[in-house]
Order: sequence, then C-alpha cells, then structure tokens
Amino acid sequence: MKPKVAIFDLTDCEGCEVQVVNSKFIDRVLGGVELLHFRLGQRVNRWDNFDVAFVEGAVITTHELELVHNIRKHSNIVVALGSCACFGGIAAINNFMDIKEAKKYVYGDNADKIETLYIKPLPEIIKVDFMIRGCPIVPEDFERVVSDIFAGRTPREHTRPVCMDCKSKGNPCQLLKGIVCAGPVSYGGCGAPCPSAGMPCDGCRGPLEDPQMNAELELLKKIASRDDIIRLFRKFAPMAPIFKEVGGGKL
Amino acid sequence: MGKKIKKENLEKLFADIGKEYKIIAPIKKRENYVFAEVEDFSEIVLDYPMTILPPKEFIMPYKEPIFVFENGEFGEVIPNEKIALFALHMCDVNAIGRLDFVFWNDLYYKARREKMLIVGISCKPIETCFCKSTGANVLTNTCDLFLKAEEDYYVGFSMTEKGRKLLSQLYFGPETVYVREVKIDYDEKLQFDIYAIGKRILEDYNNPVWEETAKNCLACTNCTLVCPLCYCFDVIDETFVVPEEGKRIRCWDSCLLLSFARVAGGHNFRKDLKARYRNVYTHKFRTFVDEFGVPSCVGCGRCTTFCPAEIDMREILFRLGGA
Repeated sequence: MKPKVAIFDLTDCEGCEVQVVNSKFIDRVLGGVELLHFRLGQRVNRWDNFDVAFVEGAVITTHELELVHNIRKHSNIVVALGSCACFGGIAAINNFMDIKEAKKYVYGDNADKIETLYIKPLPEIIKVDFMIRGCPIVPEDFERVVSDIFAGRTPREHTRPVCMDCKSKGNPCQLLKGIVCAGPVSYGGCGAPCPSAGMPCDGCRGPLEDPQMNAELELLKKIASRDDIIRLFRKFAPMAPIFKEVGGGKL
Repeated sequence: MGKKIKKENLEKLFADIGKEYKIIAPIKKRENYVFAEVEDFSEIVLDYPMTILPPKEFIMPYKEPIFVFENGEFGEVIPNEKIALFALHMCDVNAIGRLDFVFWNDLYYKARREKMLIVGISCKPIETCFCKSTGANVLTNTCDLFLKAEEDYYVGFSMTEKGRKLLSQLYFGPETVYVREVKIDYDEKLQFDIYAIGKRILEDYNNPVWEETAKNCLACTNCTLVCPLCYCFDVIDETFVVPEEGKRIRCWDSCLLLSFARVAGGHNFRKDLKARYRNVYTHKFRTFVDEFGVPSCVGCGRCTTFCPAEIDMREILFRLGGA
C-alpha cells in the first residue's frame, strides 16, 4: 500500500509549498505515494489517517490551532515545513509588539474583528517529528527528508553553519566588510544564496547546534547598533531558541 | 637551471598549456581574487595578492560524488580531467605537495593529481604571510614549472618531466640561467621556530591562549575552509526512494564543528570549542609533523586574513613559542 501523505498550510506565503513543487517530489515521489491533501497543488482533497503530514505556516487563529491538533491526531509523522512552522517566521514579529496597536495600524476600524494569537512555533504546540527549515525551504532538503522518512531512516540534521556554504563558494565575508550577518550562528545547508548574491545571511533557518552567540554578538556590537542586531534575529526565525532572546533585546 | 621567458611570451606558454589542459588561474572577481577556469590569457591577474579559496578545491572539490547507483546499476566516479593550475604562489604549490603526503593513495585524489600540471609564479608577500617560518618558501618538485619574476622577464625553472617539456619550447630563450635555489625571500613580520612550538604544544596543553581565543572564535569554519592544507572530510549518502537511485558524496568538513568528533552513541571527544580550537594547532604543528616531517601549514596567511573575528594565527603561535 502506498504511504498516505498530506501537505497542509496555515498562515504563510505558500513559498515553501512552491519549493515542494520545484523539488523532485512530483517526478520521483508522487508515483509512490497517495497525496490526499495538498490545497495549493490539487483540486480534490480529503482527510484520512496520514502516514506523513507536512505543515507549513504559523498558527495565528484558533481555527488553525484546532487544525494542527487534528492533523497530529490523524498523522503518524508530522514534519514542520519552513521557518514559519519551525520558528514562527515573519508573522511572529507580532510577539514583540503591542498587538492592539499593530492590529489597528494594519486593519484600522476593523481591528477588533481580527483574531491574532501569540505565535508559538509548531513544535511548542504539537509534537513535531522533524523540521525542514528555511524561508523558503530548499528543494534538496525536502527531497532528502522525504527520502529518509520513506526509507525508515531518521533524517540527518545539518551540523554546519551558513559560513561553510558561503565560503565553499569562494564568497568574501560580509562581516569583514562591516555588514551585519548571522551566518556564523545560523543553520546551514541552504547553499548560501543570500551571501552569494551580495546580501548578508538573515539566519532564516534558525540557530546552528552549539552557536557561538556570545562571540557573534561581541563582533556585531563593534559594527552595528543594538537595534540592527535585534532586527536581524527577529526577522525570519524570531521564536527559535537563542534567536528569541537576542531578538527580545537580551544582548 | 632556468630559462628566460619574455613577458609577452607568457601568452604563448598559456596557449600551449591550454591545448592539453583545462586552465585554472587567478582572476579578479569584483574586489576579490579567486581561482577559476580561464580561457583568455588577459583575464589572469599575474600579480594578485591572495585568493580567498586555495586551489585545493580543484583537487578535492567541496562536494564530490565517489559513487552513484541508478536503476540497479552501480558506478564509481573516477575523475578524468586534465587540469593545469596556473600562476600559483609558492605557498599554494607546497601546500599541494604536503597534501600529496596524505592523499597520494586516495583513488579520487590521485586520479586528478596525476594528470595535473602546476605552474608557480613569484609573489609579493603581504602583511599576513609567514611561509618562511613554515619552510614553504622554497621550490620543490611539486611544481612542474616555476616562473620567477625579474625586471621585464621571467625565469622558468623545472624539476619535472612535464615542466622540462615546456621549458624546451621556443617561447623560452635559448640561454641557461644558473641558480643554487629558488625561494621567496622577504622580511617576515613575526618569525618563530615552528618545530620548537610543535614540540612544546602538547606539554603546554593548558596554555591560557586556548581559552582566550575560544571566547572570540565563532566556530564559523572560515579558517579551515580557506586553509590550503585543511583536508578533513565527511562522507554523506544522498539517496532517493522512488526510483532507487543515489550517490555517496565526499564533502569538506571542519574540526571546529561540534559534530566533527561526535561518534555513534552520541559521545563527543571535543565538546568544548576550546578543545576543538586547540586541535587545529596540535594537528597542524605537532601530529602532522610527527607523521610527515613538515607542519600542515604553509604560512599563506589566509586564516588570519579571512577570520571575521580577526583572530591572528601568528599571534597565537608567537604566544605558544614566545612565553
């Protein structure tokens, strides 16, 4: 029997789902699985018990909160897809603001009709078996994790900082140019697309195991203001461990 | 012995090599210098100060497949390319010589290395260089052809068959120039006795320098990636379920990472960054010397130049040997 797979999305930009479509999933996996639920990718969807459920996006409404609990109940393996699910993502900037003011700024007179929860990363709400990080995810990561899950292996975590992806491409160091960069403390494996295009790393994949955050902050303080540093770690993975503290002003 | 070659004739030498080899040479990429494949001689910057990555990526690439399997078929991936590394500085040439000690029996390394042509060129040592201290400023037979810059010409030297074949071509002048040795000489800013430091490094195991440096170190691995002699690697399997196919990949690794000394069962031999940082030095200046007689450092100065935390390897060595 083919494994039953579902891809759900919550509050997000659907970019990670687009990356799923960009990956070899359709060519090389779709024939081997039964894709029951994929709102972005197919017209007819249904619920069942899933072998693997991928969840993209942040939990912002009570409806979404119920949905993720329901997904957990019906799924053997739950994989958090992308930084919104893993670490709250862009939306979690709410957590650092006065939520009433923020809502008023965006929705004006309708602010009261809009529901917004304090944004928790998915692993703090339900048990998550694995995370595929990134904003957006890289297709190779998705392919690898899917392959491992279906082969019955535990997907391997990346253990290298973004600096390793970056330097292996021969890029000059952003930090040495005096640009605020989260590369040394950030979870690698992305292939360093940002530094390769002349932009610093924003740490969208969250922290590396054993990040040298003290050394990183000492270094950043020499080249940037406190606000710049806070903004950097609040950007894409604001609710990730360690990033959360720095983004919250503990530096 | 050497032979003169006029500057304008270097292009002929380049064209001659290009007939047989894919040429890798230093070029300028925005404000930096990198080794890259070159098809036109005018792209090459002969008087470059320092490239970011050393030429090791052309002998042992960042990620290289060592075997693949597809539809039930298994195939080894043996590289079969003739590469010429053109205009390498003495340090980079000698780094390859020292890598040879380690990897000469490695199938994939040897396949690339044996077909390789290495052409060295004079350099102007910059502020972070210390090749004299590491003994890597002297010409060895790793270099097929070395071009020593004089006022308006170069003198070509060779100690290999491949190089002598080039020296016998007409773009080199007929007269012979005699020299006793070819080496890079300059005033080194910080000089130290590398071998003495290597001898002391294990006895002085708890030198405060490790603790102090580990505090500033980002463990970003930049120093090990830009090092022409850091060769640690990991082996990763990349497989796909439907249909059955995959490959085994050899990929650069770094001993500065927590995962490096972690073994099955989760034990880690070097949990602290302090221990990992010290390991870089004990390997380079002690255990490698014990094994091969030379340090696994050629004093190219890249680790110091490209460290975002501005950790100076020479200063650490000086403190280890100077106290």
